[in-house]
Amino acid sequence: MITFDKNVRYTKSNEWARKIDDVIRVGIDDYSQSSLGDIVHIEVIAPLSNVTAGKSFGSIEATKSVCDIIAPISGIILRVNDEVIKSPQLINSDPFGQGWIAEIKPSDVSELDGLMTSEEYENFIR
Amino acid sequence: MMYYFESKCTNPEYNLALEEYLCGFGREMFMLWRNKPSVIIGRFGVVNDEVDTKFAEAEGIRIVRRNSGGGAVYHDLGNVNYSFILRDSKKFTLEHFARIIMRTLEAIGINSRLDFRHNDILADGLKISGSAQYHHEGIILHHGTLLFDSDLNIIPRVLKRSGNVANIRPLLKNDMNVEKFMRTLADNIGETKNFQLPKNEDVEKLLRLKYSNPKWNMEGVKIDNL
Repeated sequence: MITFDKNVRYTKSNEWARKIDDVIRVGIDDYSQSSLGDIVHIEVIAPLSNVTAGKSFGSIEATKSVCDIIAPISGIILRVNDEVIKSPQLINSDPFGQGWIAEIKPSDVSELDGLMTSEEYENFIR
Repeated sequence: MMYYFESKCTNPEYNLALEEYLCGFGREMFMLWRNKPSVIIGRFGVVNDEVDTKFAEAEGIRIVRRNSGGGAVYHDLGNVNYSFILRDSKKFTLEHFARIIMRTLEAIGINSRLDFRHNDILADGLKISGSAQYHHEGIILHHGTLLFDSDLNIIPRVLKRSGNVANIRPLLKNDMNVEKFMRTLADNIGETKNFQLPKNEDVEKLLRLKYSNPKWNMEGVKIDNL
């Protein structure tokens, strides 16, 4: 059963974005992790790099698939989740929590409004 | 409708460059291709963990890295590679594509089954086909191998991890050569239009800067801004 977090926004490429004070925490959602299967490797560009909404800022490798991680919002990478780099399976076990991937300082936080709500996303992936 | 393209080139570096180029071309494609003896390693594979590099070098087996995941595989001219390049909106699974290939094999009298754990296609319990995927900028690349008439003795010598594999050709009731097998696959995959590859420098650029680059092939260093 796929779970959805009502307190995040979603992209069409299955990432989520959560506003925490003035940063945006991002990850990939439960639907995506369950489609990919066991995640074995993750690679993310270094902190302080610029990211552009809709463009890749890293990749995830599941047993046989490699998948881009797409930035939900433009800005600067402030922090990468070292725990998830060391243990990528955290994305499988807790995609909206311990499996977060990076935190972005947004250049325009209103870009979040263009992403899907949980309800819109549920309809989108059905 | 998908476009169909058969690469006449058997250079592994070129074919992987071509495949990447076609992923960005904006058309849904089905491509068939073969490579000279080579080991094609997964995006994050570690060459020394997976390949006997001394044996490969002595036998002139090239090592080239692909964009998709999974383990290293051996290619030669008896192995047929297929690639589906589609828009990623439908979230196709590995199993979806395996079923298409199994139906195509059935058309030539090969009964196969799916190993759900690895999404490999088996005949008489032995692997005849494996596959992997790459999702990039709204495109899904699903590609795989079909062992038709490969030199199976090489596989356990060049790959440090290899399973039990078999060729398709000895299983055929009516023998055919690899070229006929490729034509039959193309005819049975569904409705397609032939694709004319436009003259361009982008494939050459990918070939030169990425797929002929030891940093990418041997170390997996991402090559940007191509």
